[in-house]
Amino acid sequence: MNAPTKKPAPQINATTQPFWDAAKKNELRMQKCSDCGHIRFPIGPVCTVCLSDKCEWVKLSGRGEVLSHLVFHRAYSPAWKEHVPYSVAMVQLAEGPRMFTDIVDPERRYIDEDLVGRPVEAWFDPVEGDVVVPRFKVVER
Amino acid sequence: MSIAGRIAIAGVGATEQGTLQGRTPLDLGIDAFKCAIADAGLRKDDIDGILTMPGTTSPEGSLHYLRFGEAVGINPRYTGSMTMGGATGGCLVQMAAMAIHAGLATTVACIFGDTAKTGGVTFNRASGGELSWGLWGMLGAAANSAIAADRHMHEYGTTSRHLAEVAVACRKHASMNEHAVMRTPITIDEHQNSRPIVRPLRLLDCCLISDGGVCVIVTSLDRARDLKKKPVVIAGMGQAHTTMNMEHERWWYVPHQKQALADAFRTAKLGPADIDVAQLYDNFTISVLLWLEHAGFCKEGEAGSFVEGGRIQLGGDLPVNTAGGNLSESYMEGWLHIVEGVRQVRGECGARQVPDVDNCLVTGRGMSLNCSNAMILQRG
Ligand SMILES: [Zn+2]
Repeated sequence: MNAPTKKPAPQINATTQPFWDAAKKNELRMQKCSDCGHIRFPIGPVCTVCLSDKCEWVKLSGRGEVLSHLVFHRAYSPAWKEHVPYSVAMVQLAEGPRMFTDIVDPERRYIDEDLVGRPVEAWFDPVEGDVVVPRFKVVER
Repeated sequence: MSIAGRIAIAGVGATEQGTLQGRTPLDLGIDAFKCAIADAGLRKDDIDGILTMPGTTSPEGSLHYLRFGEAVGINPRYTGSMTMGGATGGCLVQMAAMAIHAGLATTVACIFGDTAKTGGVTFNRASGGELSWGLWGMLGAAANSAIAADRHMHEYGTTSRHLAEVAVACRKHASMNEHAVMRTPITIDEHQNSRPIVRPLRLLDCCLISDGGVCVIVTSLDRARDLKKKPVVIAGMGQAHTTMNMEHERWWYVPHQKQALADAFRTAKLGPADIDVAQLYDNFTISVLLWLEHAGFCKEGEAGSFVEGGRIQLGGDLPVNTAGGNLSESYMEGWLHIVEGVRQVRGECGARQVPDVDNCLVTGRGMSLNCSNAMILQRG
């Protein structure tokens, strides 16, 4: 089930390190502002609501819903060439943040049918060495 | 005193467009500059402001204004470069107008030259802050507009055939423009049969990639009245931008464009019913539908049915992108929309001229869904 997809590996820096450390433990963690409670994504140095630089990397449920679903019939980088066609979703996470993710069915196959409104769940893809990328799959309601 | 109605476009110039082997962004920009000053009846030394957009293939990047000024031998009172993608042309013209109104310059040349076609550019709006969305396959210029189209389809029942209406209109207009790159008319069925790029967008939903140069000369209305061509007044202007994508509730709908348009209409003391022809930034077909709704030509969610039956074609209620747009004329990142707006107001468009144009709306949008502007060009 956890065969690597050979999709591209991230450039990890000090700011993003906690995100990837969490992924290694099969956890989706994002920055929650210690002052106002806002959970932000993409990763950033301060809270986008109150500018506080204090935050805690909280564990999210990994559950959400598809807001938009695209099917890429073209690869815009060599790393994605062998995966075309593939699906990308804009996912609304249960805790508030949104993210883009490639998306597959429970058997991790590309899906052509329209996925908008479908529930999704994170899964963890060991792409390279000990680097793990969180991705999403469609689950039953 | 308000800036509205006091600044004019005195000259426009464009090079040939398309696949231009051996050309550089700099020499294309210079050619366009020479065309534009000739169009205005000006000499090089009359230009005391230079604002540029570096081409995607310009090696100077944000220092492009220095190289351009050096290359044409001008020491400007006012200068700079801006990179807002397809919103840059309109934003620079507005910046020129503000500089002239503030007394910092009298006559400003706004210039763009690019070799995106022969220079092998991959338009790839990077985003995602410290993480690149490319890790999850969200890559390429079409991706964010595909989100906009997908959401519009889900929320309002818009269809791919509605998008096709935009492509068909632009191509029809390009077929009447001898300078356009893609001139063979297309049908809705041909659009529907074109290959998928990023669903729901097909090949014929996407703009071209082109080489070329464009220049727009801005000056005061008083000064423009003494020049060669009839002045085209900037009757109203507005701009609005968003930097937020994921954290912006309705980011995909580009709602800030409504603000840019509302400011343009308010400053011009006009409304959508006063617009005779519109040049609406079309990186992808969906963009035109969004502009139509944001400008108030139809209600939110109704642009799909609005464009049915050729309404935005020449001869329809609201001709849009009368030179062919980014989709079929050439991808000059919206700069040719300004040129066509000026020419329509002047009445220079021959077979594709809209009769009795008093007001033309011109819009620009850049950095995917992030930057936007609007101008109303008026007969002087
Ligand atoms: Zn906060």
